[in-house]
Amino acid sequence: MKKFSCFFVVLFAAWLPLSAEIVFEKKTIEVVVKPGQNLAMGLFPFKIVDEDETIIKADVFCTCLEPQIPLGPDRTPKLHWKVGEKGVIKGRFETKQFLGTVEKAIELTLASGKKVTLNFRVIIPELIKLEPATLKWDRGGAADERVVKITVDHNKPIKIISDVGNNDKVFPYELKTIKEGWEYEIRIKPTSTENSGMGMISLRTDSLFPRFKRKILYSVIRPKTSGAPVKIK
Amino acid sequence: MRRLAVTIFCVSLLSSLAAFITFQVIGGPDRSVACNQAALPEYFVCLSTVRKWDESDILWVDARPRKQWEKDGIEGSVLMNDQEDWIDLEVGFMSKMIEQLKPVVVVYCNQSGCGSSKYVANQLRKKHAEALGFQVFVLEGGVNALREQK
Repeated sequence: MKKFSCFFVVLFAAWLPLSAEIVFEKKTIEVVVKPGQNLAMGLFPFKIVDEDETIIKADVFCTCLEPQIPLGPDRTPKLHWKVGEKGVIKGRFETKQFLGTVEKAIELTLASGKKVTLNFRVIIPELIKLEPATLKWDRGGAADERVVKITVDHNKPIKIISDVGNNDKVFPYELKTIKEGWEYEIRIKPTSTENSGMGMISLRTDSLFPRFKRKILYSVIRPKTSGAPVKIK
Repeated sequence: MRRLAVTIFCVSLLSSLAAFITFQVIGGPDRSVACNQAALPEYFVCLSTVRKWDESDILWVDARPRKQWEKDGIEGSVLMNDQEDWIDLEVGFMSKMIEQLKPVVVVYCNQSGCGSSKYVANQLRKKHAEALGFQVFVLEGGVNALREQK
């Protein structure tokens, strides 16, 4: 009977660390940043239930994201948490090179062996839109004129201050101002579609924010692809 | 006490011997990245699925940091990551797409959680895929899946 009791004590002790749990209010958060904002902070509040928990490490898979574990009284990251305690894991996201929606993760490894993934989604609005951003003509096809609409989606105007094409012989273009600072269009008509080729029109703006200072429009002539999509399922 | 030590020693020896024989007969543990195509999110793809496609149709895009791409990136792959200036890298990608007619682009990064491949794939899909007529996928398991297949 004594041996039997010991067996259960050992079994219970082995099970204990597994029952510890770190409970997050949300495991995915979304932050919309302002156009000039290069830093976003994500907060992941948590509490410890059932048993004490130890955070072994916090991994990220991008130099753009820095995980921050709350500091203890000794000003070092507090890794050991007692049941009932609450804290906040922070993510410091440098967003300056991104546009649109970006999602990065913080992966916590706990002493219980469990891993917790915290997803940090950041939305960086695009203030200047080129629609479409790429123009394509089929090689040997009609060299018809195409139009790209440029619109500013912001509370202040953003002017195009310069435009430079790198292949004007094949892709001559005309930049037309529809409404200064708000709406433009570029008309391109290739001189020939006989050969494959690519042209770029580099646009510079007076935006105060570095990520909106430069836009590129691509013009491409290439053979027609079969268009048959690959099957994945 | 001596008996206990001998017992522990014998049990350890026997289990080590059994493990050794198993390793020799069956081989090492399966460390392959488990991938179920049907369970993946949209635009994610298993390496086993990619291997069924014509290799000449695929343009590999490496979404890892430049140093890692230079060290062991797939031959012929293009660097497109979210750590360097997007426009500068985009020019390289577009040049490659003109030079080679690739209807499929597969983006990989370090692992599934890195997020870079998803970001790069989304940007390419949004800006160029429709106009140039290619499909963009993210490789599930990233470079680890590729390494395990070697």
